Amino acid sequence: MSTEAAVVHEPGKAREAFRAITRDVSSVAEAQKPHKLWLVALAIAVTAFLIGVYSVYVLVTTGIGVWGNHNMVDWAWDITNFVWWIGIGHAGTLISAVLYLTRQTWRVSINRAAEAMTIFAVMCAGLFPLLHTGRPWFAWWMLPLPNDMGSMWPQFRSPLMWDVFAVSTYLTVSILFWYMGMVPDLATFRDRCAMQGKKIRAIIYGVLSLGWRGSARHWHRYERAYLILAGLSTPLVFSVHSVVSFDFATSQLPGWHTTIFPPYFVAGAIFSGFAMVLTLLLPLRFLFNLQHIIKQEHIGAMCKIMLGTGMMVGIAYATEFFIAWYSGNPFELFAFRSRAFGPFWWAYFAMVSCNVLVPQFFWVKWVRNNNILIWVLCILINVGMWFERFVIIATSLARSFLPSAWAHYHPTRYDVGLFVGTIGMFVMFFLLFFRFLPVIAMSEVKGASPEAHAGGPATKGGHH
Amino acid sequence: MSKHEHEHQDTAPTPEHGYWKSLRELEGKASWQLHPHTREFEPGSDEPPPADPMSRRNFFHLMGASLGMAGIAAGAGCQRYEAEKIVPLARRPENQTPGQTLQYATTFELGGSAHALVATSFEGRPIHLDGNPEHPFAGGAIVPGTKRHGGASTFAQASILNLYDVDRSQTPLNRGKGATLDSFKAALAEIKKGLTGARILSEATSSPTVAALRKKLEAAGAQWLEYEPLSWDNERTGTRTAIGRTVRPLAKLDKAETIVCIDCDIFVEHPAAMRYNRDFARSRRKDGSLGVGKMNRLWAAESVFTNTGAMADHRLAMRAELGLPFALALDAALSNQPGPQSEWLREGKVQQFISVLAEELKANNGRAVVLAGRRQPPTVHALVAKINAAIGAHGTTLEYVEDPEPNRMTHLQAIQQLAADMRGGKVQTVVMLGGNPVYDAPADLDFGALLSKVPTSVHLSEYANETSQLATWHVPKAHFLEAWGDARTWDGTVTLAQPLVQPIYGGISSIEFLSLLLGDEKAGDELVRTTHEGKGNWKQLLHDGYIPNSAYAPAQVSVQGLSTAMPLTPSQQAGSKRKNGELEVVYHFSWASYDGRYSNNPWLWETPDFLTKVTWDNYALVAPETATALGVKNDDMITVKVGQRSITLPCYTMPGQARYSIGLVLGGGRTQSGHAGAVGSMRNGIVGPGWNTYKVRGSENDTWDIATGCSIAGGGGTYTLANVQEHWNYRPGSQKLMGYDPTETKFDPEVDRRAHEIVEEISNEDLQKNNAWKAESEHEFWDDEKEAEVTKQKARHLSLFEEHDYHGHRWGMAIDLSTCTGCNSCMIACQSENNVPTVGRNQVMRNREMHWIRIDRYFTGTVDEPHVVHQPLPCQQCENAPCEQVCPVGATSHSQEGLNDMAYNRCIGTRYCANNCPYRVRRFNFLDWNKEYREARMKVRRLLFNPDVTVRMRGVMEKCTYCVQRIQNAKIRAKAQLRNPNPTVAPRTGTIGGPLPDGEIETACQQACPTEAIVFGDLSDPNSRVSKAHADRRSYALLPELYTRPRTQYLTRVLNPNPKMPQLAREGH
Repeated sequence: MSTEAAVVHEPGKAREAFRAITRDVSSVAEAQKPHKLWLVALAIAVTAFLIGVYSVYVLVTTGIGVWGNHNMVDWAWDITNFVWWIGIGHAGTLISAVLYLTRQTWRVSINRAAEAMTIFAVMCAGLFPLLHTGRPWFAWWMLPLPNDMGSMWPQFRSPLMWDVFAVSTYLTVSILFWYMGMVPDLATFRDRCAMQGKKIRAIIYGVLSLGWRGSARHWHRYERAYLILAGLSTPLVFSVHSVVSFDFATSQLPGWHTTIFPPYFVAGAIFSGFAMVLTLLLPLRFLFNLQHIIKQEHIGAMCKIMLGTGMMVGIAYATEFFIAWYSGNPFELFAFRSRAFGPFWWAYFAMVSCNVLVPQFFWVKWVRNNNILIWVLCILINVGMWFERFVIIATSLARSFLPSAWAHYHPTRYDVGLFVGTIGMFVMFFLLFFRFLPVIAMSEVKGASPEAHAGGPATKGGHH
Repeated sequence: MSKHEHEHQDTAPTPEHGYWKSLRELEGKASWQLHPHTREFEPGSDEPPPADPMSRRNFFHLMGASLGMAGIAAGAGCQRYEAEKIVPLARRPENQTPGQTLQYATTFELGGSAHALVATSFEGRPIHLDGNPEHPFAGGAIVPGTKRHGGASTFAQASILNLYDVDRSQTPLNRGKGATLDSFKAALAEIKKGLTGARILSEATSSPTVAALRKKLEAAGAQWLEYEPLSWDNERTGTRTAIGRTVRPLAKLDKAETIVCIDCDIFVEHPAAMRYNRDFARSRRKDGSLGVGKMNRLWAAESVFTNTGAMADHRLAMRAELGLPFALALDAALSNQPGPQSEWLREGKVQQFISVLAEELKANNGRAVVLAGRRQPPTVHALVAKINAAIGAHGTTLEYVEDPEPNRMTHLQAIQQLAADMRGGKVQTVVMLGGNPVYDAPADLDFGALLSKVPTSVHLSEYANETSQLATWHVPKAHFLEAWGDARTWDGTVTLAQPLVQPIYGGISSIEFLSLLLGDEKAGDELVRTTHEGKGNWKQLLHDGYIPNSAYAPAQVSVQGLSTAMPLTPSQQAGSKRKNGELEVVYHFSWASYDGRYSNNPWLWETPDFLTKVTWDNYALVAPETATALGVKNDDMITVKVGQRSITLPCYTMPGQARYSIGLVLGGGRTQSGHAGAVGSMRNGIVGPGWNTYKVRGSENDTWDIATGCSIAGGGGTYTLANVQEHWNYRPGSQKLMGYDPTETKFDPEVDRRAHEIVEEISNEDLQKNNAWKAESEHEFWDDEKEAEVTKQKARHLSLFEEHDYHGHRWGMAIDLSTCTGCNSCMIACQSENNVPTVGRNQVMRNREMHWIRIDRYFTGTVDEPHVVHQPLPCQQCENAPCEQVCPVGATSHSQEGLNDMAYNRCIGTRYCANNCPYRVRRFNFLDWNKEYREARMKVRRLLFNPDVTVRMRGVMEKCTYCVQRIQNAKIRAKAQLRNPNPTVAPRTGTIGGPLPDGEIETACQQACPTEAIVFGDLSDPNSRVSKAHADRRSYALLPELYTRPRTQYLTRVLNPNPKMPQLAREGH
């Protein structure tokens, strides 16, 4: 659509610019030999992944007892990791859907990678509810599958059931969205491979591109479908983490039982999602020379979002304390007091400093332009968000109603092993994605580039 | 028994039986028919497997397989079998209904005192032990007019686990090497020759049959000696000093209004503890009632904090050696004489305690009793006899009975004399019946070395223990459930023991052994029967389990001329502040291994001590103030030096432990124990848990029970004791006590705040004065229907959920905190009834213990003088159960009778239910706790499992079910008997059977509780005991503000402090 319009006005210059985009993005996947750093990173990721595989093997064959969980703290690292990964998965949909609907053109440089990240993060997240069950081979009982086992049917009052639906819907929509957006680019890959004589690749990309020919009709259908999916998945950005937060909010436990959780969790999820996008993209952008596509202003915009969501999270922390005091509920007040000053005070301190203090640096423009600093801050935010979930889950359980049930919690090597394994899996998939699939939405970048618009530089905010 | 059937035919082209599975089969072409000459199964699989003597399972396995084969074989070309027919039993074995349990009365003896029991047997295997409610001494009813009730101690109940213990001795040993019973019998001829001059060292026993055999042996020239490391002989000696005759004091606590315990634990340690529990509960709730009434008052002065101290209305922590000045001062105060000179007695608190107590004793003349403990020297017991005479206890609250063996040496004298004789080379033959003197004899005797020098020594014992290893012969002893026997309860009632199974490992009982020694070789039943010839209808006696009116005869006694000029030692004259090197060490029984004999019993080790909450270890108890002063900390390895001997073991700083008194718990560190200690990688091999404190327990200069001039030193590193409740919480995040004044240091303020709400208490005075007082019940918070009734308004239903509607039974429970003495019986009962696994020390440290009922205890007050509150906590069976809402697969759901049912097969193990349980009573199978029972050597242990309760696999959640299997069994019985429905309760549609009479169903914990503190029943019957308890003004629900509407409610603990004593500073009371 818009590409054609551009061709009419400044055919030579625009064509050259579009070619450059195609060439630069495709070169990531077309390079004969992978980058050395990429190989090193992959080796590390696969090692971590294998540690995870071993941890899962031991876990499934021995029992949940290999973890540090116990009768007083029944959820700890398992659900912490689940919520953390789900949170990370939020940036993808937000960028793809919400920013699309609000016409934020800067999203195009990162939306593909963010969507891929979402899918991999949700895959990692999904592992935990499955593996944290005592008998994971029966976990399918949570699905409403018709069966011949009498009265066996899920219990829909349980927030865990809601999780099953929320997360599986989210994963499905995310995959659809990601894949559908990739179809025109896959067709580009197909064509380039065919031209370069890489037959097998051409066939694979050909199958994946679903016979895309780039006709006006194709583009029309594509744009419609994209819009519909964006519309469908926008509520998901807010619903998934709200539902996840219901696991806690609907329970009895002081420290869990708070109505603030849905917005608080969603803000935190977006916060951590953007941090993870930058954590991954900053090095890869450098590695594959994509600075002219993923521009500094895009990175700056993400920093601003983190600043905003970080402050929302900070307000949530303060509100929790205020309400604990204001409610006059001594159990509630004690739960929060022991969070900040109890045996897990260091976790609380890590959470507040990483999530509230660290983003404050993004007020400064100089920081927003310093990619190394941004990267370090993003890592800290990810750490802080992990601690947020740990603080909510473990410290609340460790100080429940009856003092006789107060207990401490220590993780074991298998807790750590599985977490490391999911990080390995996540990075591994992401690296493979970078190597074999179009990491940047070429067609969309072209559409959003200045050359695509009549009369030169793009009108701000304009897209398609 | 039934036989297998194996029909056989030649290869048949069509199915002979007329049924076929496929056309190919019909045509005779099914794939398994095509190759008649190839072996269909793996070699060996169609031959019977090697015989496994213990496996009932293998039997069914084979039977099932053979029957299956019989069908297949009809058409298949497999091997020919002999034709066999399945025949049913022509007659059912007598009294056996498959699937039904049978109860037999039996007994077991611990430290010379019998426990009357009822054993439950399922298809020939004993699976559960309870107290015998019909027994005149052990059974009874607390509330007059209600059903008689048993109650059994933890040791009695857990001893069933020893029956199936694979570590029990299975063959005789000759000099530590395996032998046979026949070879022993051959050697016996030699031993019998040396019977003259032989020493027979027995455990304390009250068995009349043993006594009869003993007479014969003594006639043959053998000398009979009895030794028990935890002996009550001081009481015997002291009473004799005061009275002039050997008699046994027997308190009638149900008649006492003031009970004084001087270093005496009447609830767990005393040989009559179960009876004392009941009697205490009776006078604690005078009319057996729930409400106001005259209550007894319990005073305790003790060194180690015991259950008695925790229950006491007034407790004085004193070093055990101060028992003498205490008794002297009390005696003096009663007779208005000046007391002895002791700095301690001049301390304000002590002075006040003794003077108020003396005043009360005078006022309660004839309604008070004083008891002194096992550790206290004979002088104190003599003084106690004198005091009891002075306060008119004789004949009212205290009875003396004739001792059956007035001339017996004390246990300590006996072992000392034996050791002296052995040292002098006078002993050629020693026969030891039970016991483990090499382990538990006084350390100065060096019994092991002496024993090795005796030419012939025989040890009859259930376990091949330390003594067995050094004896020339060891013979396996039968478990009490495998043998005939008899013993006397503390009052003397003869109680009979009958075997429920053949000896699993071929042991023989003490009486059979003695008979063998005498050359009679009589069977156990004959021996016991002969002893009790003519005492009544034998079958009836066996059925009842006791011989009526066989108690020791009451003795008419008086105390005369007891001189109170008893000199005090310098340390008895000193105050409560001492220095290192002046400490006292007292030896305390182990709640888990008793004197070491239960060292291989994981049930007992994993049941936490009532007050310390420690499992799987023994330790040195040190008062926090003393620990601070001497520079040691909790969980430090400390070296306790007693005279020239010393031992290094973990230190447990126990609030309320007497200052400068070190409590050494006995019974740990057995070297020839069994594999229980290895559970949870506690110890390797057969070393038992804990530390051997007998190593420092000498007998020189009367230091056997209380040793003085001791010292402790830290610096041995640290060792974490497996505690099921976090150590007593000082302040969140702080383990520091240094720098605090222990008399001022309060416990964690949050624990203090919550404990007041969780365990409600009120003084008897307040309860009586304030008729409007009512425990905070859930109604105050939530039941607006009641409110609406009062305000004549329409009830607003506060709940957002549709609430459950109940028809028919509504099961409920009430737990009376006034009479729960923390004896742990309910925990073992539940463990036995519900196949609750043990997890071992390491897993306990990870908070993974599995008990379905636990006893929470909280300290309030100061560290120096703490007040203990406690609370047994099973599943509360909420009507609005938070667990049920959150299970994604509906594995825990609400029954129509209000139980939170748990479907183990349905559970996938998300543990969400446990997280949402405010009472934290759910227990998750983090690992496969029953894994070891699949090992061939442990298979026999599976016979103990209650067949009515599922054995849970790993990955599923479990919790208290109110013994749902008992409820269902009772309902089925009711249906079978076609009981008329109770007209007061509308029968529920679909209910099997009608409503059940109150008391028909007893949960395991309720049945074991000696004080009937636990009451279970139907809340829909307004006249049931539980309904009345719930309606009582003392009744309250735990955490009512959560609106969980628990079916288990607690009855406020009523304390009865003397108004003249300083009152507990508790808010609101």
